[in-house]
Amino acid sequence: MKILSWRLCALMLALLLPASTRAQDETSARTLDPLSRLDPAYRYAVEVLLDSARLAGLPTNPIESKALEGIAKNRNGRQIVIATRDVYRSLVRSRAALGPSATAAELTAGANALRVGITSVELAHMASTRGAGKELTMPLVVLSDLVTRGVARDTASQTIFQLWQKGAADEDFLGLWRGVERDIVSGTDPGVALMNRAREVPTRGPAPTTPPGARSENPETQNQ
Amino acid sequence: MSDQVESLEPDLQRIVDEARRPVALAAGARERLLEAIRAEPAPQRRAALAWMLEPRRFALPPLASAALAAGLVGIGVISGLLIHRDGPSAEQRAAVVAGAPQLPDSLAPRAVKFVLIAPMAARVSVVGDFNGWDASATPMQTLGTDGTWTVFVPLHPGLHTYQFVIDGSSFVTDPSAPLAPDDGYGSNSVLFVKGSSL
Repeated sequence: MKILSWRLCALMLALLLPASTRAQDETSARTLDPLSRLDPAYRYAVEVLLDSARLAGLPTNPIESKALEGIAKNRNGRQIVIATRDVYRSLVRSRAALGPSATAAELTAGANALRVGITSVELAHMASTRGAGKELTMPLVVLSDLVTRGVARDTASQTIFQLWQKGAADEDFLGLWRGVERDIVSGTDPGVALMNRAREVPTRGPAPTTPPGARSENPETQNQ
Repeated sequence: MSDQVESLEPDLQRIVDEARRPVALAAGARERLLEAIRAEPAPQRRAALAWMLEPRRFALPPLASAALAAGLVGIGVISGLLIHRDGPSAEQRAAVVAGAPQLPDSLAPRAVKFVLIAPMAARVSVVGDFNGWDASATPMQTLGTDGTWTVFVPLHPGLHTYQFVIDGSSFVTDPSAPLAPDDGYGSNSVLFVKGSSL
């Protein structure tokens, strides 16, 4: 009877202990390995994208961040894989347009710009006119924001490109964005707000050139 | 026994007799020996160790055994949950930040202040690519009653996307930062942290 009791005790420990350690492992895994919250099949798809990005020398942070954002916002696995794949493809196109010397921040900003409709040709032209030590990140961030807020793609693209050509600094682009954002909140048409504020940006560089693919008509009328 | 000794060989008999001969001790030798034994410390540790190592048998009814096992497992589970509840400890997080100054200055993290005015919020946190979009990772603090929530976050140079989470469920963008395009999850705010050499 006594031996039986001890054997029963040992058996229960053997059954219950792995369950308790598994619960602890899951908690710590969630902290150390956030992707563990994804279903294995979807997780595998995301990890394939991460590996592909790593092999291509692309930043993996935007892809992983998109997956984690989807998890945090309770999106299903399929939606998460689609979103991360879109980010990966945008990064590939961004690298092709901006060139191998682009920084991770520029590639990410370029990927965002491509997703709002800026063409690879326009990106490549901006990159080709980049001076030494100049970063494309802030102009591209502002460009993506302006299109997201309702400025016509061509208007935003040409205006930002012209300011870039004039040698506008990051602070100029940030100031432009603040002004346009304030005007839009006040009820001004986004395109008009951009054109008005763009005139206030000081000229610091050479005269602008027309980017490839730019339309010939007045950008101010394109947002009507 | 004595009959057997009587019948032994003479040489062997001499040895036996010698062994049986009383040993003459010096005067007081017995007292000195007893005194030395009394002075020797009692071997308590060995006795205690032997007591602890001595095998014993315990008898428990099956129900008590099961209750004991369940209790031990429960202690393990609760301890594990308490240890991992809040993720890495403050010391661990501090260690990560403390390691950063070894990086080149252009890659070293910068302290960035996030601010959101949300007077009706009970709690606000910032989530983004820098904390794995974990709403419990970076809670914001409010001082006073004007509903201004702030937090400082060390961020590496680069482009970061983030949002604020109000009361654990509402994701809102930062009204004072540019937007990233909507990719199906809603737009995010964008923050560009420049390195010193950038």
